[in-house]
Amino acid sequence: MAINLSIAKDFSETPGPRSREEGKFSGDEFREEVLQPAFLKAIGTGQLLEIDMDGAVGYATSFLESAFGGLAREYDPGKIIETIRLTCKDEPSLVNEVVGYIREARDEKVQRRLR
Amino acid sequence: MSDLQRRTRVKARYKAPRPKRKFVDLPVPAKFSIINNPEEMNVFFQKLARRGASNHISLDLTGVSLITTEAIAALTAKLSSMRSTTVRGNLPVDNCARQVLLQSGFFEHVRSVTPLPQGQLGKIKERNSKQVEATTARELIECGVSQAFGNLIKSDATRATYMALIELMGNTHNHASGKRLEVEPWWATAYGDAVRKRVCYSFLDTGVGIFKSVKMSPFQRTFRKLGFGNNAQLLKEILAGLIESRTGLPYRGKGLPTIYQKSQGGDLKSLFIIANDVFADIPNGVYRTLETPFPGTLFYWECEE
Repeated sequence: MAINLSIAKDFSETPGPRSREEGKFSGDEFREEVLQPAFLKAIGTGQLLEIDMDGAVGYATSFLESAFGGLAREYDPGKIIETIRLTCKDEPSLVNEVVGYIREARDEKVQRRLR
Repeated sequence: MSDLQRRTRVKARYKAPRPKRKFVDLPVPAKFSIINNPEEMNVFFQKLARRGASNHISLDLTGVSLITTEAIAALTAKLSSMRSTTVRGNLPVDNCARQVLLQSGFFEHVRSVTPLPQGQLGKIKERNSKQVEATTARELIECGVSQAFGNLIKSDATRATYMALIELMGNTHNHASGKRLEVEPWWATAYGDAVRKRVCYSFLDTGVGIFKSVKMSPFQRTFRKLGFGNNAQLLKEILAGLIESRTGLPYRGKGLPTIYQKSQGGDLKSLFIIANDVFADIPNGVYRTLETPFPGTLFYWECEE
């Protein structure tokens, strides 16, 4: 069993900027109101969180970084990689891009601990 | 209060009337195109600002042989900051230039001195705002794509354009105003060229630009003060992701490098960046310093089907 989440259907077909103060449908808004609750529910119930990125007009880098990198700055990045499955037929390279943001956040955490 | 005192007070309150503004002629460069003729265009914008401060302006467009949409966006942005100045203009003799001008919505901002012919006006979609407007980005793309190709399509090019528009709108918050809470307006246009089967996009802000808002290390700053390196070199480094964002946060500042990558990958064609004293023709690797700086940042690119 898995929890399914479609960014276009459950949030917006027009994902916006990084932060709420910049405009509507921001990465912060998505993370706080949609992604984080779904992620916590998936962890709590031991399910996978399957995120469908298709159907949106496009994604700004800062939206994706804020949503997924932001989640990895708050929670264990290893747990996020274990729990979340991303699919994007429209632009398959986005999956690696998002995984990259989660890993960057993990590396940043490690570096901070070493400092 | 004596009569004399009252008369003096009245006299003190009296202000001389402002001298009536006159129309002064301002010739427009024959190549009205920032991407093709940046130096002359920047001089033109400087003259427009200087003469428009105390006069109304009469633009002489008769000799114009080439007009591109990013130049119209830049002129529109400039005119919006000169609200007390009336700007009027005539039509170019050249038919192509005349058609672009008529379709652009140019005469919504400039008063025509002759009656305008009937036809399809306002073909160039123009928007301005101070917010990141995702729905506006979509609207611009859909308008340009349907004009150029006759139907609405989604492609790598439309997704790259959407990304670029959102990032550039966001940058007017992050860097164009210099301070976090001050936000500069932006202008964006989309023009669907059905003949060339291309959509031409331009995005413009008139803030402090890219260079004053990046974070440089003390070494980089000293290096530049000693005369090594210039803004053209700095733009290359920003696009390559080598310069930290002003926030100092390692996960910020990825927007411009991603736009550059999409240009290198061919999703965004003919990308030009004109920022302050730098002119960059990205696909051809041309980065040069302008003698007359551009007041802000302009991005221009095209998309194929």
